[in-house]
Amino acid sequence: MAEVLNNENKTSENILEVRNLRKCFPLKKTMTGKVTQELVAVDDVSFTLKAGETLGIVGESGCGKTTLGRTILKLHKSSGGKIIFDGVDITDLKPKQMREIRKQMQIIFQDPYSSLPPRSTVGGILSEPVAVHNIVPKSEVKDYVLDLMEKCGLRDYYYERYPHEFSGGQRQRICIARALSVKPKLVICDEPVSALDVSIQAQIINLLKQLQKDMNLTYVFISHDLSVVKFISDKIGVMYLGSMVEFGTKEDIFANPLHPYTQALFSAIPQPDPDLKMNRIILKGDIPSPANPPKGCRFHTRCPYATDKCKEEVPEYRDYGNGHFVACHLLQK
Amino acid sequence: MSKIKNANRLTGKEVRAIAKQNKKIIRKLEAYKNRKAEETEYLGHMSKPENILEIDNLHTYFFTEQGVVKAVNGVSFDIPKNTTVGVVGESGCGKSVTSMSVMRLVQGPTGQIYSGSIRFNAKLDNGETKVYDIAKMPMDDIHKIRGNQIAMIFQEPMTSLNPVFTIGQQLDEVTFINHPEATKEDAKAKSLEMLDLVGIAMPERVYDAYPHELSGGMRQRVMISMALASDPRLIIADEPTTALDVTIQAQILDLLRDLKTRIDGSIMLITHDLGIIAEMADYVVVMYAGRVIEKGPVSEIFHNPLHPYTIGLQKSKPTLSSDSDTLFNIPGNVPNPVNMPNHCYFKERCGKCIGKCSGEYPRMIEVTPNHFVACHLYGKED
Repeated sequence: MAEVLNNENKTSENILEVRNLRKCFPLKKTMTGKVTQELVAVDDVSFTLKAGETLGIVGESGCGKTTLGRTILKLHKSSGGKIIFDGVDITDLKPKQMREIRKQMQIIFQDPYSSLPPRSTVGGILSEPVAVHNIVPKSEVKDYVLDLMEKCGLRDYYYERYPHEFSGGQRQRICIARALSVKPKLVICDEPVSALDVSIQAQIINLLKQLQKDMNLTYVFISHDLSVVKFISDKIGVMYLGSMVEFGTKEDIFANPLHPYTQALFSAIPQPDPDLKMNRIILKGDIPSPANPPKGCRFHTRCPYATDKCKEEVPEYRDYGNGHFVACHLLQK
Repeated sequence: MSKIKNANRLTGKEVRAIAKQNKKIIRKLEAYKNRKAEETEYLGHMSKPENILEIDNLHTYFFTEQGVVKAVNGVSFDIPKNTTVGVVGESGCGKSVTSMSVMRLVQGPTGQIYSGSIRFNAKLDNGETKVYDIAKMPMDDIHKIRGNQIAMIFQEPMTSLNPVFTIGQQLDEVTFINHPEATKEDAKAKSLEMLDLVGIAMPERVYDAYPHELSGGMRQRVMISMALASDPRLIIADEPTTALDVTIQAQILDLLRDLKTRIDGSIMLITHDLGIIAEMADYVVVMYAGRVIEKGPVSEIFHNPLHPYTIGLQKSKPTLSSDSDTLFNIPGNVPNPVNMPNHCYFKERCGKCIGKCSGEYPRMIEVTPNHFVACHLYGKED
């Protein structure tokens, strides 16, 4: 491990640092395998995250938020940029070297119905990662798993049951227990509650928050639901068509959204109060195809304030004080 | 750790007994559904003339191998003219099955309308109005209402359009069915007008496009235009924006609100999102486990919710304006739909139980004018 430790990056408090991360998927290849057209799913994304914090990533479908999460975990090979996890540059690590790091970073998937193996019991699902990564001695695995199940709100007799016997909320609890079984530092939650009902959603969100406090976890919480993200996050990143358009602390983003897309996104959420009349900003048109994104600022096709400059130049992603990053020409005057 | 017998597991013998019983009932109900009947047999009377639809004690059951699932178990509510009635509840609470029952689209032979009535105030072409009881109509006559008097917008715009026909062909078909004498040109003109009405920028181009060429928001607009093409009196929108992104959802909701004033009809809006209800509906029906537990005007439901479930549902949704540290959550899960208890279905999850709750299922009580709740907490002292 020592040779991959880059001491320069060892800033103790930042658990995750992403610098200019890029991920492209090839769309067309020539016969020799040369890529002629590609889809830029994540484009030049940078942020840092301190231990124990939660980063919420919001954006509409197709904006690259899931790809970002998976690229951070190296489930996709990145096409450029750097991922520094806990002081170690993991961007170019070999699979063997990754093994040690994998147990420190885990993922919870969106759909609890398809992310559990149907043919193993809950006990099997939860013990396997513990055994593979040698978290506890073999003789203690079962006790460890039962203890974990209790923490996640699962009864002990579920140990011998199969995933199909559970409701969506219970399955998501199993997924959470599985992710936490290897004592990770970073957990990427990829829309963990969007497949669940409102009353079950609240249970799972409270559980995630409680576990974070108990185990000092760092979350990257990916969701399209802004109210959930606001509830759980310390920092928020707003994505649009592959790039981060705004990033900052929760207070800054919600009290003072600077990017026109963030403003429109916030005003589009229906609020459960019939008397509240909002000045809704309704965006025209649809999200452009990520395979053929517009030139200049990617948002200019739908932006109510777009100028000629926006159509030509890509805006710079700049800090506007207190770590509040925005990529918009309007603010650069 | 002890092994506990799973109460949900049935033996082969039990399954066979259930199947035998189901077969008997289904055969009877299917025969009733497919019978030939005179119109007088299913004419009825509205209890209030201003209502366009009255659902009265509707029971829709699914006869499955595990037992009878009472998906809709005694639902009653009215939809007055020119109002939007929002039906809200979690998945499996029977809100979609209620709408499917109104359209008579419940998937048979397993799913059957068991009893109850759905009275619809239909306006015929010659101007006179007739009250049909949809639940008693034979399937052969249902075309009098379905599609032209009541239209439906489905949740999944990706799968509800036919992929092998152009948008134009699918829209024209609606006109041809309602007006068999229409020419091709008439139909096209009407279709283009409809596409224009729902805010599609280039109707000519969309008319010739196939569904896969359109985005999700555009497809939902096409679905809405299709529903409008027959000038319906009632539009049932079953989670019309669930599959869409927030910014697109805002566009579609804006469109629906705008249309209601233009078409002079009612909307039955089914959703699980309380935000959408607050914004769109005039009257709210809250469902839980196949029953209506509370119904009332929208301001009453949001400012003065009575049923513990309604209160819990509102508190458990994080909002942009709230700043609390932990979310309120309703413990537990929805009870098993096969073996529903005899007492209030919410009792196990309710924090305000009183002794009476173990008794029979609470009746609907009118607490303030037009605001009903089914909960023992609000019963008269006796």
